Amino acid sequence: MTDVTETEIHGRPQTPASDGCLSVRNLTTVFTTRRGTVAAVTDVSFDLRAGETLGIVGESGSGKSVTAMSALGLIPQPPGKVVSGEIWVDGKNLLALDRRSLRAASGSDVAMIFQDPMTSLNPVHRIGAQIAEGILTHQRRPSKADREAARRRAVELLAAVGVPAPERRAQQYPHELSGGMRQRVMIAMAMSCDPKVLIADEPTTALDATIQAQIMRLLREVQQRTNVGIMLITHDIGLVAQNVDRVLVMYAGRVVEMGTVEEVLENPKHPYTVGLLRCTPSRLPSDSVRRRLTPIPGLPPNPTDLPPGCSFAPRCGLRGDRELCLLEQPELRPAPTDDHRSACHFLEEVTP
Amino acid sequence: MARYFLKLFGRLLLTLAVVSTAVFFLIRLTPGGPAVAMLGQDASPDAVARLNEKLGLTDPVFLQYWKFLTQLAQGDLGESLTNGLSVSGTILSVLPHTLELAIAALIIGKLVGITLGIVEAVWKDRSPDVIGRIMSLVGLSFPSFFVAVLLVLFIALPLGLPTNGVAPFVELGSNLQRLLLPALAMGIVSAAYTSRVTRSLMVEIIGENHVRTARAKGVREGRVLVRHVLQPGSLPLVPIAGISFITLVGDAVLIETVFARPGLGSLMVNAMQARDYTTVQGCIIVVTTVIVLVNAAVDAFYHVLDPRTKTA
Repeated sequence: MTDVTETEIHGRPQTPASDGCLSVRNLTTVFTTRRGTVAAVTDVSFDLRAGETLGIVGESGSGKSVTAMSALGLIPQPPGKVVSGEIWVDGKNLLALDRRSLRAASGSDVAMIFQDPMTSLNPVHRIGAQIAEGILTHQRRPSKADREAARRRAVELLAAVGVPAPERRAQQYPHELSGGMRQRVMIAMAMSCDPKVLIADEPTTALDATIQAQIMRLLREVQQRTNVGIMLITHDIGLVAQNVDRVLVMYAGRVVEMGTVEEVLENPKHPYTVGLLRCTPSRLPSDSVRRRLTPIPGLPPNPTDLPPGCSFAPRCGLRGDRELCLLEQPELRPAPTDDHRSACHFLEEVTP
Repeated sequence: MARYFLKLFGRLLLTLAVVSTAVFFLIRLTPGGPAVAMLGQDASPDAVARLNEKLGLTDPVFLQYWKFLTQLAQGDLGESLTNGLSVSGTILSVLPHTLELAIAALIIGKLVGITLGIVEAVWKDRSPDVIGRIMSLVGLSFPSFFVAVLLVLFIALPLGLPTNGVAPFVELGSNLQRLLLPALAMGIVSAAYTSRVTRSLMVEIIGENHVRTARAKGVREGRVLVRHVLQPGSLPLVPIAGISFITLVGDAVLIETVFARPGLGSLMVNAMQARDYTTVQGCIIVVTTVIVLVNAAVDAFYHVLDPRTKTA
């Protein structure tokens, strides 16, 4: 499987599109376990444009987080290893950078906020110092004036993410803040170096519903101010429906469907997406007719032992007894436009 | 602040009351007595009785206890039953040597142990870790007095280092020479234990989310290690150091015997053998005080280090 054939199949140029602030090409990341090599992410390609929010959905273990962590070199090696692919940001292939350059890009070109704000901050340092550290680490030999400037910038950032009394909060320790406040601090920290890409890995999973809405609103505000491209990793379809421009659906380490949020959610072209939507309670008042949620039968495949054909085939209601699904791995293809793609052999037959 | 010291003082008094009462009665339950120990097994009962009366041991036991308590309240530990010298004077003359030994062993143990533990955690499951873990396993399975004998055989004798006694503090060179081997013997065992604890602590912290955050910010690995792993990790090491120090004071009893160092340990062992009730009581009271004070110091230091305990 060479890059050239992949590109031909996808019909895309090898170099990233000019408006793409993040381009992932053929990313494959594996983990070595006692029971063999596990492909956590296989041949994932997508683009994120400036000012756009891309939602990555899928269940636990479908490779959402691994995709994000691969970009920043945060995959623990060993056991993990990015075996192939390119991740382009600002004309740089992050996967080809040496450690020093990747470190320089981390936080300044690509920043990340994590799932659990309660434990993602260092417990023994003040909030302000932790934000300032992110700024200073990208300056060569910061002077005393630089440190002072970074401290002031930290307070400004706290104010910008809606932390009340930012001067005082900057002097506090993480345990003195609530979960929602800590996630705001994480966002301030991530935005401290004006990144081009912000990866938000389930940013609201650990927060309650009202705080969830506040944090998502804050992310939208920040995006409007800075035109940052946001990669929102989540398993919450409702969150996706309200907050993203385009969606990427992942299953067993592969992208099975991608497109605009309207297309994918209203007119899904992959049986897995259809299954996901059927087991999601609707929040729309128009759906006042009560319907039962239908679970997808079966379990996700064992990643050490993926079926040769379509990974979803054993659970697919559409397959019937067709052999093709079991024999051949389906590729992403237009469904029917280039903006909406699905990796199903029979995507024409998929109905919502 | 005043309240803190008042509480500390109260705790010290309570502990001392319990410990001194226990040791007073327990030591009198041990078979034999100072008179038998001094005069020998074959002494006539008459002579033993006379000596006991002279030592004041024929008084009713509660009268003796009352006398002991009133003396203690005035800071008087009494006189040795064997040589009549002031117990507090004797203890004060040897205590610095024991403290010196325990502190030196603590420094060696923590320096070596923490360094080893950090190296093991950073290179987890690679050769430095495997070698370090084997070393600490060996260190843990050797008792300190055995290490002491090995050190004498393979280091002191070939190098011609002194292997016994102490030197006054003013003769610094000679003092340190005589301190080195016993402190090493205790320090090696302490280092083995410390490296284990440090390793598991650091491995745990390296896997924590805030370390990932620091890496995502683009912080240099060296700085990640110091600010985001070692600084949060140093907190639990403080009480562990306190416990180590207390264990080391206990260990000193054996090591002082091996190296024939005058100290609290050897004083206590000799006093036990002579059934010198007052000296044993005095030693135990002093050791208890040291332990309570070390614990208080550890507590106070922990409060200074950990921001989370300040607002609570």
